Formats: sequence, structure tokens, C-alpha cells
Amino acid sequence: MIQLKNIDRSYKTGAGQTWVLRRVNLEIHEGEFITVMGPSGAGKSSLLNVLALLDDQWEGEYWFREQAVHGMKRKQRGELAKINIGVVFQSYHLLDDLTVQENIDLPLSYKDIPRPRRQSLVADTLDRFQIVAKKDLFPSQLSGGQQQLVGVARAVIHRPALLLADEPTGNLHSGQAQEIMELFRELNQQGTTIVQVTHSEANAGFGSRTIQMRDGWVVSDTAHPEFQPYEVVKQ
Amino acid sequence: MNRLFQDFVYGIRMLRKNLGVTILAVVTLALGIGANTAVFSNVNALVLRPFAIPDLDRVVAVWETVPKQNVTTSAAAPANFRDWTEQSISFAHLAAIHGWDANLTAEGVAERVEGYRVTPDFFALLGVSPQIGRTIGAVDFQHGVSPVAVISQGFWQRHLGGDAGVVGKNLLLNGQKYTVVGVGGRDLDFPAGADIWTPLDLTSAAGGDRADHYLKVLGRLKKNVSVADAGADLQTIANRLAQQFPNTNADHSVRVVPLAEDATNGTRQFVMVLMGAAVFVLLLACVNVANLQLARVSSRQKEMAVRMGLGATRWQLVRQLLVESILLAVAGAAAGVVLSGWGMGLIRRSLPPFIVAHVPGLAHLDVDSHVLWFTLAVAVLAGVLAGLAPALRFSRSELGDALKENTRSASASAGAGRLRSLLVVSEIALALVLLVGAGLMVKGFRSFLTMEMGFDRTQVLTLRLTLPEEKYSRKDQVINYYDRVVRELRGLPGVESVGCLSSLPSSWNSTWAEYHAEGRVTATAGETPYTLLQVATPGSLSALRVPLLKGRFLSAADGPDAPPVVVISERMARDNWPGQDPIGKHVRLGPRERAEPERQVVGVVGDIRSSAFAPSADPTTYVSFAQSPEPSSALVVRTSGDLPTLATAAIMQVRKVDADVPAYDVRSLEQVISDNLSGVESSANMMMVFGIIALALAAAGIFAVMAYSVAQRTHEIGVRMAMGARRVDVLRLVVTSATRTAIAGLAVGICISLLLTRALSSLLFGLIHIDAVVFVLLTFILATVSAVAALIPARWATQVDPMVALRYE
Repeated sequence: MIQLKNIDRSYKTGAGQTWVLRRVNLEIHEGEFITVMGPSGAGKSSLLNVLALLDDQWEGEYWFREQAVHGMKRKQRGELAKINIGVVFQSYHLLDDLTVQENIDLPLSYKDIPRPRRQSLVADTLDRFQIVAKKDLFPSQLSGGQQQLVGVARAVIHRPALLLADEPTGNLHSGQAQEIMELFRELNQQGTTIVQVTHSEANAGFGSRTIQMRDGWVVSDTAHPEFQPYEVVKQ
Repeated sequence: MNRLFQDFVYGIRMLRKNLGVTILAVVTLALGIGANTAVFSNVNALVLRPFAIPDLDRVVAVWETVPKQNVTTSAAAPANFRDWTEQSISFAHLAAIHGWDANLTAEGVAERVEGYRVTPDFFALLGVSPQIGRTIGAVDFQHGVSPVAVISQGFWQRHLGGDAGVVGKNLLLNGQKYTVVGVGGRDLDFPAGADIWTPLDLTSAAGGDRADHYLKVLGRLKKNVSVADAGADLQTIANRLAQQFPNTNADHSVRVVPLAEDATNGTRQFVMVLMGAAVFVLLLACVNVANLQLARVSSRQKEMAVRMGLGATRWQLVRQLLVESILLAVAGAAAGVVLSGWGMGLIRRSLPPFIVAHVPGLAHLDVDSHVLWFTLAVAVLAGVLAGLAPALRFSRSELGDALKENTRSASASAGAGRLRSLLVVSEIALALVLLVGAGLMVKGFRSFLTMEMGFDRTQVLTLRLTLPEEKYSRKDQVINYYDRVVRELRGLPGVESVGCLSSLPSSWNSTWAEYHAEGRVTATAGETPYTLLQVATPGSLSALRVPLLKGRFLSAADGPDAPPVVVISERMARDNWPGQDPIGKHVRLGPRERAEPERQVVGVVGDIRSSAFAPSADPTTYVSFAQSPEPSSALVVRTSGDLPTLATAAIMQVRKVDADVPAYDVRSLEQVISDNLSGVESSANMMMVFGIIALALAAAGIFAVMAYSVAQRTHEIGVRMAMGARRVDVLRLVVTSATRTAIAGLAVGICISLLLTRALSSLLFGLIHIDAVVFVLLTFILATVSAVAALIPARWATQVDPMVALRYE
């Protein structure tokens, strides 16, 4: 599904350049549930931003279903992301002034989908996530778990092939976290490819493959036990 | 007090911290407060203190009125004045004055000076002292004393070089010697423009006259006597006189009006409208600064919460914030005073000297202590207005939430957002009201300037002449003099026609006379019609190119011994003989009791508007100059050549006829009309400046609010972009929100403008009226400026990097 080849990402700082991703090579297959782990500053979220096409300042090659993303213009990348990718954030990023229903409708509102079709998709999603009763509430009226549920619903309403989740349970207590992860597993079983970033070993247990990162490098990958250790690569 | 001082010190520190925002706020307030200072200087000089007379509120003007004939401002007859003086109990002093155009002759060259004859109590009534010598007193009215004069400070400096030994010297006025007994100080400025005052003796036969109304009467009220009391007192006397002298005094009443109000009728309305506009500019500036303060204070929520947590009361927080905004306003006021001083200098220089000298108070237009106190009060008020809403908004107890980490105070930000929208709506509404006001006034002024007045104003030179009574006491002398002058001027190169009129259109001195028209049936019993009276030589109407509609113009044949004739205007014909041929009909001019001759109508000419302010042309009667000569007349000279060259030559020719009679008020007819409108022009210019300030402030305000709003919505925009929003979607989001606010503001502005236009239309002599083109055009301009002001931040919004925005929280 996705091939990353020698992806580098750096920021200019006063002293010089700070690298957040170094020569990342990664292949993601359809239907996988990948967990990206590593200490803070390892480059996990940066990798997710690259995958989500929120960041376009990287170097290297990014192939998405045989399409060369690295050769695309910003607008084309946006269109690609809009159709194929959904994102779940640690702090939900729901819009305070929109109701649950309107928040879920947000990604659809930026697609050329007729209003009745949108309404029907929103109704289906509310039903599927069992939050019909809360459709007219505002985010501030929901618990953290409920807010993240809405966040996930919003990320998958347009049935993306790839769901990216950055610390999706970081602000939730264990019970709520468990529910969200179960939901992810269910989505994965229905065919959605998932890449999650987490610190939680328990959450990682829901995935099928785990990648470890450190200082911007991918240092291990359970799908490739032969992967060279971090120290060797650095040398 | 100590706490207030602490607030003051902290306030200065906070203002210095955000120097850019502070400077922006100070400049904004300087514009708003400066506008108020400038206009209040006008109010102070023109309305509140038009004359530097002590206790001006106790000085009144007294007019005779004839309610049945709708006459509200008639000069007093000498005998009536004498009776008021003797019988009234309300006045400490009553005085009468009479205009007296004198020709001053010195070293063989004559110059016209503006003089007034005054009764003995005049100077005591004014309560002003001379800077040199003495004023005119009872001693100067005794039989056989030589005539004396008091001269103004300006005259003393202009004509006598400020000679300290002037008292006792003689002036040759109209060929007669007057001894200077005193020089007035700077505060002797009544009537405005007066150069010289001489005694007005009403003890002679003229003093018993009740038919001729030519005295302007002033009174100083006794202490504890109101204007109404004085009016009632004089009315009792008037009723008595009406019974005693029914021929002259029947139906005559008296009107007493404060002098300041009386003298400023006409200017007051314009000045007060400008004051209203300046208040709008101030409100606009306050709204802008309130927005800036709102942004500044919302970034200090945590500080407020900490202060509250440490025991500060809501009032203490409000006070702290108010002190900051008042400091801003005081700094703005200081800059505003400088701006207004500069602006007033511009206004003074733009006005014709004649207007500056003759509009009461205009010569004293300045930033004095009253203006400075007013400015300080406005500054405090502006500080409170600009600071109160943000202070109240961000001093509420739920701000405690701000102390909690990672919690967005959704309700506080929504409240502030609503307040900000409300401020922008008011800003756009205020700006539109000011713009429309300015647009309508400028358009009104332009229409006044180009108004069809019934004559051709181009290529006409005008000048005035006043013959000294002593030298030209006989009618034939006056006729011969003007004959010669007309002949001399007609001989100048380029001159096409020359004529004399008693008053120029748009000049300040027109004569009205009651008349009796042959066969006219009055609508109501006792009604007496009035006509504008012009004593004219044969060439005058052709010099003005007034069309002849019927009959003939006045001609040289209409001499002193010929049958008395008149030419009348179309309106006069219509008013008196509708549907009939007026030629051959007769009119008798003057009061019924006077033995005036019947004059035959020999011609009908087109209507002339006496002024651009006149709602329609007045009924006018042109009397043959040779049959009723006037010692003081205006000459109109039509030329095909250069006007300034003609002016120089005409002055020389007039001097050649009689060196003792100077030509004065030498101006083109176009200049006479535009000078008459200079007050309106000045008001229109000021309104235009206010309109431009309003547009700039509105644009700056909308820009600031939209920029702030985009900054506040960075997270939301980031989320939307992460959800697939394109740049155009973000642009639409921001612009839609701005458009909604702008439409609300424009709608409110249009409603207020319509209401105000309707109210002001009658107040300003028909200068402004609802004009769809002006409304649509200015609404469009403001909408465009608002859109551009919103578009820049909207474009910034499209540059938001979703990755950064999502990390922003």
C-alpha cells in the first residue's frame, strides 16, 4: 500500500539543522495494524505527519498504491489524503463550536458529496458508533472517551483505506482506552489499514506489527527481525 | 490613592511592553479626540462665546415682531426703543446701534471703514474697557460737542500704526472730523467686523419715528431677571404702544433672545452637526481601541486569574484595565490637541478674510483653556468607553478556569468573540453614517455652488460704493455720481455692460419692503406681503443676463421726473396677478401710512434666487435708480476680458470720479457666491475629513479584528485542513464570517443614516437630502474597503500549516 524510501525530515534551527526523520524505509501492506513506538522525540509523530500528508517538507520517496506522492503537487497530495486517509489525534481536535453531528460531517463537507448523501453517511456513522443520542451535544458536554469516539467516527466516516492515530488513548483512562482500541481492531478487521503511535505496550498488543524508533531512525520492525540495529546503521 | 498610583505605574509598564499596539491605539484616539477638540473649538468660539463680552448669557438682542405677518426679526423704530428704555424694568442697560458705512480719507486717499453709531449705554452694556483712552459716554451726546469716535484694535494697528498717542487726534470720516477718544481692546468685537463706533443721537426729530425700523437693540438683563421675564416686560410696553399708536404699532410684538443665540443663527446648526459627526468619529475610535484592548486583555487572562486568585476584587481588575485605557486616551488627547491646532489653522486660512471678520467668534477660533478642559474630559470618557467592555469581559469570576492547564475557556472566548463582532458591526455602522453624512454634505455643497440662480455669474465684477451723506445729501447728486461712475466703467476695455443694484445676490444686505399690489386680494385679513426691493439702473439686469419675459427693462427714460415705474420678477407677477398680464398694473412700496407713489409695472423678468440657501426665488421688485436713488449701491460690471485687470482699472476709475468715495468689496460675482457658501464649504470639507478618518478607522478595525480572529482560529483552521479543507474553503470560511458581520453593520448604518438624513434635512437649509446614488456608492465603497481589510487576514489563514496548528494547542 505504502512505500517510504529514504525519507528525511529536518528543521532549520539557530545552530544548524535538527533531524527528526533519518533515512526511513518502510513498507506498509493493505490490512496491516502497525504500532509505532519509541521515546519522546524519536520521530513517531513526525512519521505519522508524513504518512498523513500533513507535512510536505520531507525528502525521499513516498509511494501510495503505486502513485509517486513525492512527485505530486501540494493540491494533489491534499486530494489523495482527503480520499484515502483518516487521522485520529491524541487531543481529539474537535471544533468547540460544532455539534457532534457537525464535527463528524466536517470531512464530508470538503468533498463533492450531495447533502442528502452526507446526511445519510453521518446518520450511519452515528448509529455505528452508538452516539445518536449525543449528536446535538457540543464537545465540551462530552467525556474524554466520548470525544475520542467522535474523533474516530470523524476519521473513518469517509471510509479511508488508511487510518492514522497519534496517541489516540493518551488522554483517556484505561477503560475508555480499551474501548477505543477494540474499535480500532474492529475497523482493522473490516479492512482498514491502521498505523498508530503509542507509548502503551497494551495498545501495541492490538496491532499486528510494531516498529521502534529512536532519534529519527527506525531501529526495529517486528515484520523484519533481520533489520539492522540502530547503532550499526548510525555507523 | 496609593493603589491607583500602582495601577498607573503598572499601566505605563504594560503599555510600553506592547509598544506597537500602544502607538496604534494612541494614533486612533488622537484622530477621534482631535476631531472633537477641533469641532469643540468651533462650538466654543462660534456658539458658546461668539463675543468676548463678560456675562454674555445676560446680554440679549431685542427684536420687534409682527406675528400676523410672520415677521420675527424686525429692527426697532427709534421711538419704540426710547419707550422701552424709559419704561422697562428688566434691563441694567439697553442700547441701540445702527450700521454706518463711512469713508475714511487720509492723505488724499479714501478707504471704506465699517462703522456703527451707538447710543450712550452701548459700552456700559458690553462691559468692556478700552485699552487706551475712554469709551463713548453721555457727555458725547450733549448739544454742540464735536463728534467723537472709538476705534477698534485692528483699525488702530492697520491704519494708525498702533500709535500710542492716538487719543485726541482727528479722523476725516465722510468729510467730517471725528476726534478719537479711545481704542478698544481685543475683547471689543461687537458687532463682528466693526472698525469704529460713533455716537447715535436719538434726541432729534428722528427719535420720535415709529415707522422706520432700523435700530438693532441690545439689552443687559438685571441680575435674577430671565430672558422670559424681560420678554414679558417689553411685551407689556409693546401692547400699550399698540393701543397708543395703532397706525404704526398695531400687531407689533417684541422678541427677546440671548445675543449668543441670535448672532449665531445659521452657523450654529452647521457647527452642531459637525459636533455630532465628531462624536461619531470618537465613538468609532473608541470601538477600534476597545477591540485592541480586547485582544490585549484576552492575552492576559492568566494574569487576571492569578490576580483574582490572590484576592483582587472584580472592581480592582476593572480599575487596573481602565487606568491603562485612560492613559492611552490622555496620550491620544495630547496628540489630538496638536492635530486639531494644525487643522484649525488650515480652516482659518481657507476661509475668506471677510467671513473671518464678520462671523461672530471666528476671529477668536483657538484652543483655549475651555477647549483643553473639554479635551481632557473627552479623553477620560474615551478611555472609559474604550476600556469598559474589555475590562468587564475579562474580570469575570469564571476566569479562574484560565489557571487550569490545557483547558480552553470556550465560554470566555465565545463571549469575547460575540463582543468583538458587536464592536465591528457598530464600527461599520458608524463609519457608514459618517461617510453618508460627508457624502451628502459635499454633494449638497456642490449643488449649492452650481445651483441655477437665474442669472449668469461668470465674467462679472462687483464692487460696492457708499456715498457720504454730508457730501451727497441731495438725490440729484447721488444720481449724477452713479451716472458718471457707470459711464466711466462702461468706457473700460472689454466692458460689455454696467449697472447698479442695491444688493447683490448672495450678499448679506438685502432690503425687503412691504407693498400693496393693485387688485390683489389678501388671503387673510391684515396680511401684508413683502417684496425683495432692488433699486437698479438700466444696465444692471442685462449685466447679470436676467431674461426679460414681458414688457421692457428699466431704461434711461425712467428718470426722476418720469412716471414712477418698476420691473418685477416672474414670482412677484405670479403671486399678485396669477393668470393676468401684470404689465400696466400698479404697486405701492412701503407702509400704507406713507405717501409713496403708485408705480406702474413695465416689465417682467426671470426669477433670481437671493441666495443658494433660499428654498425658492423671492418675489422681487426693481425700482428705477433715478426715481429712488440709493447712496449705497453695488456695481455689476460684465466684461469679456480679464477680471483682475478690470478690478484694478475699475478702482482707479471710481477714485477718479471722487477720491473721497472708495470702492470696496471688489470681488467677482462668482466669488461673492462662493464666499457666501464658505461656511458650508468648510463644514463639507470637515465632514469629508471625518468621512476619510471613518473609512480608515473602519478598515483598520476590521483588519485588526479579522487578523486576531484568524490567529484565534489557527487551531480550528488546522483541524479543518487536516480534515480535507482546501485553501479556498478556508478563505471562504473567513470571508463569510467577515461578510456576515459587514452586512449587519451596513444594514444598521443605512437605517441610522436614513433617519439622521431626514432629521438634518430641514435643519441645514435643505443642504442635504436623501440621495440614493450617494447611499449606494458609499455603501459599496465601505463594503469594498471592509472586504479588502478582511481579505488580507483571510489569505493569512490559508497559509496556516495544519501540522503547526495542531501542535499549537
